[in-house]
Amino acid sequence: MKPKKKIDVTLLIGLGIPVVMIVLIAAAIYLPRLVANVEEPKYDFLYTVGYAQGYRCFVEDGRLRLEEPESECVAPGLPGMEELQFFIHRVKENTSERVNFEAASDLHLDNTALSPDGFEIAYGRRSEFFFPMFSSRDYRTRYLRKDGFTEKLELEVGESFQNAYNVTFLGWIEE
Amino acid sequence: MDKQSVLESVSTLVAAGELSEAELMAAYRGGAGGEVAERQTRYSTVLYFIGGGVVVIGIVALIAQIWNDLGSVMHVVVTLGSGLAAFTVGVLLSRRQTLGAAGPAFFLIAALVLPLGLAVTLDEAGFQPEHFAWQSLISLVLMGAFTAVYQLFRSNSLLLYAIGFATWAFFAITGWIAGPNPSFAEFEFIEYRVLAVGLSFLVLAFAFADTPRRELSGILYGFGSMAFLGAALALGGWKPSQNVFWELVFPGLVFAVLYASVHLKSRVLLTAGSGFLAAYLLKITGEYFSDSLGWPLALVISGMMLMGVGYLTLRLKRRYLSE
Repeated sequence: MKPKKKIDVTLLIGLGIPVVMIVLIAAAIYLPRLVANVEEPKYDFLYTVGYAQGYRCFVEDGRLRLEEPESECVAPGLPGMEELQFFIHRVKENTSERVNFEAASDLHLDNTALSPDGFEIAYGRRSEFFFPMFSSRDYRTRYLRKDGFTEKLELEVGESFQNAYNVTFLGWIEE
Repeated sequence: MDKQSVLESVSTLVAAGELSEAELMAAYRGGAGGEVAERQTRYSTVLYFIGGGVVVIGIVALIAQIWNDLGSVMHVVVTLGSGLAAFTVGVLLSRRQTLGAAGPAFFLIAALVLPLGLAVTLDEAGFQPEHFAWQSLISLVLMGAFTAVYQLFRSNSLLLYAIGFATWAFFAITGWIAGPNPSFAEFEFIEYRVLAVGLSFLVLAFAFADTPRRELSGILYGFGSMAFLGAALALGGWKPSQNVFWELVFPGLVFAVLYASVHLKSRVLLTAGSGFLAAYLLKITGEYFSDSLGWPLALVISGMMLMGVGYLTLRLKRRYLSE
């Protein structure tokens, strides 16, 4: 009879620690609500992409305003840059809907960094080194974040890939 | 006493748990030429590995000189080709026991050149090897290759390379899974991963201690204790953004390592434990007492405490670790 091979428990634990760590990180990424006990975000938000052609777009007293440019201050847009577009991002569905200025200006906005339920929009990170120890900010990706909870925002940015860098948050939409 | 009865006695003692593999091997080595033969083997092994390192430096310098004159195919041939050639020679030489560590020395060349070769191959194919997904693939392929040859030749150096590539794979895979998620972008994410790797090394070192792979124990205890205690110390942070949990837990971890050093008779653990105890005392003094006591007095107190740590280390070494 072939002798049974003895299982080295210590060796298994030593090899298992990194594997468990990988599983925990994957759980935190893919099942964030299980790991961080945070309620779902409630507040949609308004944002713009594209070039404003010299217009100044801002929120005042909870309403969107568009200030016309002085003609000599208008710089020509860069090639491939699209005109200013307004989007409402629905946080529950994680989808964006394009709206015109009139619809956007009807919204009541809170332009503070934190939403009334405590969420913020944060940039992603990326590694620029061969050995994966260091990272820098990734200006193309954005996340909704609160405490240990993060969710990648699937923002609509139009046709031009440059728009992903030019997303401007305008405010949380208050009902 | 004839050979058969000696072997039977050995089997009986092993079955009763009164004779370990390490004791048996020590007795064997003592009879087979003793320290002189072992020292000679060690010198030749060191020379083989130094030679392997010098060969790698030569290959890299040569490639750097002619890199711009070579096309894409030749870039792959001189990097990946050299690595594969060294790996093949390593396999062939390892089959001949009489050549000592010549085979492992060629595996050292392969372990250093193959990652570069695979990265160059991916780069020439239009991929971006610096991305975590490709780094994961490169490190897993190399870990698999070196684990396979370790299974064939049971050389400690091959297991060390496999552990090295597995460590790289761990960092690459976790970085890949985390992606650009900002919650995993802080320096703490790196510290927790280093902590896990350190703990894993310490457990592996313990597992190898009474096996033919015990030579790896010292290396793994060294790297493991530095990674584990270093990460735990870093996780404590600095006032005002300190992490009180890690600052309070750290002395317990250091004393656990010092206790383990005595229990396992490991000088490496003792050195790492005392070093990090000294670092912790300096950190805490600087963090909390330099404002109230002033730097000169804080330095005096730190110096006294460091002398205390030095004395403790010496006492432990003399009492428990001296042969």
